[in-house]
Amino acid sequence: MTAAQRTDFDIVTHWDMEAQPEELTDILLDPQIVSKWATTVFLACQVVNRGEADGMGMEIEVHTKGFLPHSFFFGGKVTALDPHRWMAFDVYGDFVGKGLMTVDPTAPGRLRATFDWKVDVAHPWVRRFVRALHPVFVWNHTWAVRRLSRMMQKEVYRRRARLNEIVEPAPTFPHNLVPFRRWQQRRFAGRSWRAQLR
Amino acid sequence: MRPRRHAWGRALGRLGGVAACVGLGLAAWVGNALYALGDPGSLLKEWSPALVAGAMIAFLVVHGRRLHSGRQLFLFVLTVFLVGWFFETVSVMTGFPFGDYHYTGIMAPFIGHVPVFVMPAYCVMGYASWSFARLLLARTDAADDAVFRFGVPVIAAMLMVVWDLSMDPLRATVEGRWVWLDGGPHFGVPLANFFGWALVTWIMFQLFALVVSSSPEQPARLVEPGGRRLYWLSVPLVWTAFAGEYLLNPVLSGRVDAVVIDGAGVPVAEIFASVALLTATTMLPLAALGVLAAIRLGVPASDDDEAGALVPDRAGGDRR
Repeated sequence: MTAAQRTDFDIVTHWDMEAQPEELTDILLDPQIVSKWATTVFLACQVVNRGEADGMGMEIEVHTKGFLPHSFFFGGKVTALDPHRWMAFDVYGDFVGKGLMTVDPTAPGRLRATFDWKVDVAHPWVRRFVRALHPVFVWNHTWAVRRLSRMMQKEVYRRRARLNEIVEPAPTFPHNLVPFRRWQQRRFAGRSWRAQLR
Repeated sequence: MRPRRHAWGRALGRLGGVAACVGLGLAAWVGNALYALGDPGSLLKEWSPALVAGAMIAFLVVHGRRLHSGRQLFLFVLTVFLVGWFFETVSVMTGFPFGDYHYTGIMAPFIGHVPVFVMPAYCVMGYASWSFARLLLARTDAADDAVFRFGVPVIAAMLMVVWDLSMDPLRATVEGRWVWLDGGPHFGVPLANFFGWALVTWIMFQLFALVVSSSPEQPARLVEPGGRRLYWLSVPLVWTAFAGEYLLNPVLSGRVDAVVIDGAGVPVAEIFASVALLTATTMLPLAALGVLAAIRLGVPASDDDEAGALVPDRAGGDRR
């Protein structure tokens, strides 16, 4: 994984997977259950607009975190794509900027995924620490993407095996504490944060 | 007028905590057998671990107070708790030393990133391994030599790894209590995990060994000379308590489902059978060695025993 600074965060991460690009597309176009198989990173996910069949125009709102104790609420809307190859999306909320996910087949049944994350932080208090704690936040991001990539691999395996049961990962502290998580879920469901988003 | 006690009553009274140690070891075995008997999600599966945990924690206290002073035992628990929590946290964040994994909701509640129940598990099996290593290296009496200070921690750490070889595939791969993100060659468990176990548990034991050898203290309770063998026989008994479950799984479980390991479906029954074989060829022979070592322990002269004398189970101790 590599990281370079342009905006607040301009981070490019790569990971290799044993999967077909179409399998990855199926997972990305099924975001309702992402908070089931990737709870460590996505605590909640809500589809605002399903968009077209290939994902164009799809809009989701998510609650995410890494290993650091804070979490982020943000939304993303797919703005351009080449099916099974790349997908660009605009980001709003606690992050403002753009994301780009690219998939390159490297061998039969294998692919390399690249995630380009160019955002400014709009989170009210995290923003104050962006410069001072920049490396820590980058670490937090790469940690979350690496976790997500490995959980995505397990989700590919689960779908291939046609298993209905999902082993739900526990989020990290403090969202692994039931009262705290319930409070955060209420915040997410209450939508009070969305007034500040757009 | 004092009621006259029967001979067996006096013997039992003298054995006291030693009999309790054996009883607690047996209770842990029964708890694990019940766990193997229970279907996933059944009350038996939910509640039998309480019997195992209760028996093993009580063993730690009852047995531990006859081997160490109260202060030393407290330091053991504190050391294991802090070292275990620290390295578990570091591993969740960095992948070192155990590898990349995450816990699942089954393991709630948590202290930070680490489930609360992980630290007591380290404590009880850590104490069983520590005592077992002392028995295997003939250091049942505390000694200020290199074997006690450096040999016992290494062997105790190896005993923890031997246990984990059987435990991790069942708890992680089959039960999904934690998930190895990159899988691994040992039923989905990476080899790095076992090196991590060896390192972390060795640090725990080494710290404790240095504490014990640097400030020798009398045990909080004394062991009857006649109960010495039984006292030490309880150690391999409790160390192998989980083996009861591992060995009974293939016999009692009717599971026909499969789990996915690195993309391939593996029948749970196959994992149960392999782990049972592994347990039978690792934990059981070691336990047999422990039993032999306990049997070979010397027993003081029977005159003292008849007089009801108490002999501290350590070199240079007082006599009553």
